[in-house]
Amino acid sequence: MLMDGNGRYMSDLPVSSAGRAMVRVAAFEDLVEGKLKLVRADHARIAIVRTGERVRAVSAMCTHARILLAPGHLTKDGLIECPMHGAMFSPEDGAVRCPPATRPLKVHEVALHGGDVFVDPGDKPEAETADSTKPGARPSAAQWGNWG
Amino acid sequence: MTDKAEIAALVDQDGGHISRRIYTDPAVFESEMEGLFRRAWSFLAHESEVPEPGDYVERQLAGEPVLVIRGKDGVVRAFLNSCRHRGMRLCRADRGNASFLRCPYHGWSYSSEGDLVSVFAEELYDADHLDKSQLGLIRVTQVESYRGFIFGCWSEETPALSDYLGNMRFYLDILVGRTPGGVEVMGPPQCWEVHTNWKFATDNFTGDNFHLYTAHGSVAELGMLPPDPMSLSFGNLVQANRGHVLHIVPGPPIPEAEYFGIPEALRPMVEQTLTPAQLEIAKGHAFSVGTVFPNLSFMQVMVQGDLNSPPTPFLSFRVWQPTGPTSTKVWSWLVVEKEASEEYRKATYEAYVRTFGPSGIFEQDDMENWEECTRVNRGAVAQRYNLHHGMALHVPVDPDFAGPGKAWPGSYGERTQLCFYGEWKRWLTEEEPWT
Repeated sequence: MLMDGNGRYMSDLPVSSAGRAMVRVAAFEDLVEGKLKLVRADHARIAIVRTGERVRAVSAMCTHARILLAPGHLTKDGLIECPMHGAMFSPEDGAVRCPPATRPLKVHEVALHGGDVFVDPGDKPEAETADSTKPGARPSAAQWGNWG
Repeated sequence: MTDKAEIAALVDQDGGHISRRIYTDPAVFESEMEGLFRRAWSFLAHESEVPEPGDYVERQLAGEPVLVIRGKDGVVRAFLNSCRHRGMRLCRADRGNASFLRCPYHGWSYSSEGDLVSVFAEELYDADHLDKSQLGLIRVTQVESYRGFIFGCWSEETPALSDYLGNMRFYLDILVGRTPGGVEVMGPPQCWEVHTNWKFATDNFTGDNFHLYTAHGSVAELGMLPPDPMSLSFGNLVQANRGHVLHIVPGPPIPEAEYFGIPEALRPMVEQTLTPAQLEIAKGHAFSVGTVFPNLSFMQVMVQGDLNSPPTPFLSFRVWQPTGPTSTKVWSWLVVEKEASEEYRKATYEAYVRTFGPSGIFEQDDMENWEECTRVNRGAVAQRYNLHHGMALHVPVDPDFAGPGKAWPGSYGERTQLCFYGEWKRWLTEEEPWT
């Protein structure tokens, strides 16, 4: 039987509704209400928010200018605010509450299990952005929109 | 400031920290004029600006006025624009054609080859007090041309231009020597003043691609930049040699964006003119911005002139001439292949003026940033804290890059800036910085 890094059997770990193994990203007791926490789950960078006993998880990359959201910060209304241009999103469903972003943050499924927070990293994006610091890397047509 | 150790401490190339004083301090500026601008090669004019005998343009070399003039013998020369009698500025127009250069003050007149031809009331001088052969215009110490680009230098110790350019010639050839005829200017340069230190302009033109989506955010939001802010992060940052640096950046994976987007009709000429290594770089890239040290920059880019226009290339050269610690005069030329069609000339001209030059939407954004940086960096408190140049310094050199020099993969980074500042420091602190 496979075990995870905390000595638990993998079969004990939660599975998402899409059938993917979920990834432990935090201890529930480490989450502070009113604070945004940034975590990594496999390929995904995820922002998690605790409200009472509930935890929500959305993508941590602003959909507007591809900026990593700022850890710690939520507005006084409990919204996620991008530090670069001020776009705001609901942590509940990722919906845009303030421009310049126009597309919502992707929502990640969350499970609470044994005092830990697990999230579904989701599919790897099909047109994954290549690492431009690798020799010979080239941009994809998708990155160029109507230029490509 | 004469203390070289103090100057050396202003640039921490390894740590990526730059003192704000280099952009504002009058003493640093004086050291720059002496150590750098009166010794290094600077671009003056393109040969196509002065095609006929008697054609001249006025430029600056280390802040002093210089005439570039084609003589009746067809040779292009450069002189200090100053009469030998009282020092009056001889030519007061910035361009024109003159049979003789006549001083407006007392009328001493010079030939287009720079010889003193006549002196008012010449009979009142005796031979001991007027030897016209010794009173020709003061020549720029060294003048040389590379592919029609005329450079001048006030020092006779500085190595020849071709040695000074070194590997940068390989990259310049890709831009200005890719067709048999080479390039020519499209009209006179645009010229304007910016209240910034000249190094803010060169810092940007060492290949800063990562300011595009913030400084030019309005352009990005209108859809005139590709939607993904990382789309322009590919390609390479290149140190051709010493302070000569550039980036080369691929466009979208479509044939229209190969060869920097130049027209189909020119591409067979490029394939016949460039070497295989140069061709590999030209074919694979759409953008290149760089600087011939110290203050000649170029931009070979594709832009949308407006929301409905297809991306169109242009090639511009610009000189950032320091006129003071916090003031810079800019000359910006649009150049085009001599073989280019009238239709393409019109399209590239429109793409350029809408986006760059004093009216251009990109240039306006840049100048506002450079001027505001300069204003703030004057502060005594601000100057206690260095500026940061640390992006992508961990990325190793790509050993398989097709061109000479060093190339780091990825065009978002601050390698080329640091190469530029390292060379700047060398010229201000070393007796023979070219060795």
